[in-house]
Amino acid sequence: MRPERWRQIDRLYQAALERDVTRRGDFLDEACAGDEELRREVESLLAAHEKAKEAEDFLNQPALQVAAQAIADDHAQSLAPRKLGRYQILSLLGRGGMGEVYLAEDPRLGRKLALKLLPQEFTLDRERVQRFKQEARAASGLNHPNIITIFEIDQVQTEAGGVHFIAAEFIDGQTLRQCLAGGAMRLSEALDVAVQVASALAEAHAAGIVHRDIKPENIMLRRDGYVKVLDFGLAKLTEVASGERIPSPTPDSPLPTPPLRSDPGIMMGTPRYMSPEQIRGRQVDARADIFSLGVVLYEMVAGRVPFDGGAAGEVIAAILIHEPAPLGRCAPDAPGAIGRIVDKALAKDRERRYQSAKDLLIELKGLKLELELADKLKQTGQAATPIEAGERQPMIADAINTLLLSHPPPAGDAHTKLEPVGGAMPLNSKFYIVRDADEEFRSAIARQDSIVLIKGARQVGKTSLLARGLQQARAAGAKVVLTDLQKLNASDLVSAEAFYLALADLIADQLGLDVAPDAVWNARRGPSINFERYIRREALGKISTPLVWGLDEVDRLFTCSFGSEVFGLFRSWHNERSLDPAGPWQRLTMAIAYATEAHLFITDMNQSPFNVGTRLSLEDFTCLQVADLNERYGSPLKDEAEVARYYSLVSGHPYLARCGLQEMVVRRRDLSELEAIADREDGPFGDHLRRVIASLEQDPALCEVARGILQGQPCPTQESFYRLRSAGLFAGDSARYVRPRCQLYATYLEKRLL
Amino acid sequence: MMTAPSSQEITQLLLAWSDGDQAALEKLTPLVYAELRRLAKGYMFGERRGHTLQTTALINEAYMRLIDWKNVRWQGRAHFFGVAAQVMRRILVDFARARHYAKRGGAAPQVSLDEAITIHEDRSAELIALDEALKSLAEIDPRKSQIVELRFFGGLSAKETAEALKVSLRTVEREWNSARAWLYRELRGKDET
Repeated sequence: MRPERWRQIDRLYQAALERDVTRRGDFLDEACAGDEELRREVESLLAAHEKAKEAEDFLNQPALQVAAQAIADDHAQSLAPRKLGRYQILSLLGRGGMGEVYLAEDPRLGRKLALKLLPQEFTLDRERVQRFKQEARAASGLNHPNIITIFEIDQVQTEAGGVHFIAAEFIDGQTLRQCLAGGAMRLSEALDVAVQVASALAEAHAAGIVHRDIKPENIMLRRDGYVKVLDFGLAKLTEVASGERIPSPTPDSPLPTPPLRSDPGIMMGTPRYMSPEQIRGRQVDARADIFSLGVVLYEMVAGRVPFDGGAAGEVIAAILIHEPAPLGRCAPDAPGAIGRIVDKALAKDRERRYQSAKDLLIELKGLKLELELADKLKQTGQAATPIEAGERQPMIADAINTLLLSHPPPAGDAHTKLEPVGGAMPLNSKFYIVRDADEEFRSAIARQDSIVLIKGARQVGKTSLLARGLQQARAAGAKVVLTDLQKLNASDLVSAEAFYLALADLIADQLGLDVAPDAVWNARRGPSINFERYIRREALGKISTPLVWGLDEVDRLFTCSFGSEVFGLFRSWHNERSLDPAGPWQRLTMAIAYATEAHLFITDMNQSPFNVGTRLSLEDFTCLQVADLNERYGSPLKDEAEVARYYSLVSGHPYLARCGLQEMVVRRRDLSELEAIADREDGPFGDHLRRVIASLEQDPALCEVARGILQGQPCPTQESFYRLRSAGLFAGDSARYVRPRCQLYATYLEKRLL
Repeated sequence: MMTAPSSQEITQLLLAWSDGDQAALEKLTPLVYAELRRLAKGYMFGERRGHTLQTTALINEAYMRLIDWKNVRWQGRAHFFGVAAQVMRRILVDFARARHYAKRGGAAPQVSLDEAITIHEDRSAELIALDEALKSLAEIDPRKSQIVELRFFGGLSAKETAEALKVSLRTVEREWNSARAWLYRELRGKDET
């Protein structure tokens, strides 16, 4: 490039930088006057400017510091051949304010894991360590796909003294911070990440755990699309509790303690994601996490944080006083609904924020669904209705039918459009395989059956099916509610009273009913009667259309003392309907999804929850369906022979089938490579397999039966056969002819049980 | 063990180097390395770790020990800062090269950009790449290259840089922004579209 040309580019770049983001386009149109190359140059510089500002490790520290860190890295690397406790340290993964993270191996289980060593600075104070341990142990009890799995929290002696460490699941992927180095994310991606983080927070908050330090560095994006939230409880280490004395400077560090440190309850590190109450050093509750997630969501959509400034002081002032620039101004293409969600999450007064992560999650999920639908409608050539949060536009029935019936477009570049495997599949997912149950469900909804049961083993596609049925009903003009029992708090399940009230609240909220359940609840009447009256009078009585009520994860009720009472009530509605064809129950369809895995734990098999209604069984994929799926992934299995080989490995297990294909695409593995690592716990199916063994091991007697089967014996009893089959672990027609559900289960279970 | 040289002696060495005395560089190198090691300790496993604010203070202190601007006569300041930043650049980039070769078993340097942005980025590789990119920048815009040299390698603040170059603070900030964006695009922007 010639210096004159560069001066021209630089001048325009400087001038554009001084203008508001929204006016730069017009400015450049005029200034470049058709010189496209000039415009591209200036725009790429502007983009680089934003990224460089955010990248803390790019020219934002002096060279002396960078070189010193390089030496420290070498030192850390030299730890590599060393051991920490029983763990073999393999390499340094990264370093942050809260310590170094190493890739390590646990020789006992042969699995890779991440070891986080906590800086001694934070662990010298025993009381503080105690608080941290308490919190981290509580967090390690959380079992949620979006929360990193903690294996162990412990302490070992090294020559440098005692070192506290956390052994956790190794996550193969990048942090959201690294991801954001490329600027703003696509809206659908941003929403997807936000939904998964909110889901993790909802789980943690329900257990009484507040994260306190939600920021892009603590959010990891695994290659397969899963998002994992890290470091629950760690913030407890850096927090100085009110009244605690600030440690005075030590001889080897004579520097004065920086002023920030002396405010009680304040954490160190960047304040850009902190809630106003954290900055003020007040008591923190779940709503602080909601604020921080709001900041992260804003940054994902806009490509910059809402509260910014050169110095920490300016950032703090912005968080406490200023309103951020409206999201719509930084990201003109973003729908208004996302701006409103962000605004509510970022309310300075926490009373005005979302009061729970669950509320935020519901709004995010709703918006995500709407956007996916609108997107799909656009693709199929239908006019999309404008999206507004809160009001769900009933879509034209035909459009929905097109959506549900049409085959997805051919995969093309499958890699770029992968979706996370597991959980509900988006309505427009091109990986959704239509099975017989789909058609049966459609007919049942169209007939307005009273009860439709969707049952199947875990990860077989129940929720995805349910979502499609509800969408169809909504399109046909019905009102739709969805209650996911997994979202209820433990306190909602202590009594029938609490359960019915929680359920009624959810229904009232989703239908926008005027009368709140507690307003008409009467203690004298008993919970079932109260609930029935509410549904009859306030829900069915106030709407004229059919009501389709989806209940997901109903197996949660199986272990509740009042479960049979609830099922009894539902059955009675079904019966009343046949007695009174003109009655209100005529307009109610309940679609109930539950996992038969629960049968593992229900020993009284006569206690079947339902003996009425239309039953849909979700079957495994056929070999042809696996071949179809393979094509949608861009055919990582090269020919029919490979499809057959793959089918014998995972049978038609819907989750495993997708998971393996995705692995082949993402990691560019061929079938032989996949087969070689399939039964390993650090392999692509590891999480799933570990859960299989974990659930089996809860019942030692059943474990013994499984052992026998693997050695070629039949099931000793009909009951054990039925339980193992319902759980989706074994397949077969009778106790005599029973086999593992797929080859993968067979080899893995043999390895673990024999 | 020899006694630590006074800041005045360091200043003399810097000025001697700028007059063409190559031996001065050899005497300066171990002094810079000593500061590097001292700083590195702050990041190491098992050592007391400084957080951001403390680190900044330590870095400033180290620069102050190496480049004693207070004792330089006013007329010579701009020149002196320029020399000091150049020396720091030479020594630190040489350090990065040595470390980088050592890690690669003496193979030819391969400054992979991918590598520079992986999880555990190789900081030496990026220092070397930055040095190269800075040379290209100097060809089309010498002043911006100099501003980066003074601030990044010389450790000067924006204000000090403005004083050294006798331009306004505003100019330094604008040019710094533009140089940083240009360098970012050169070093890390290639694989992002």
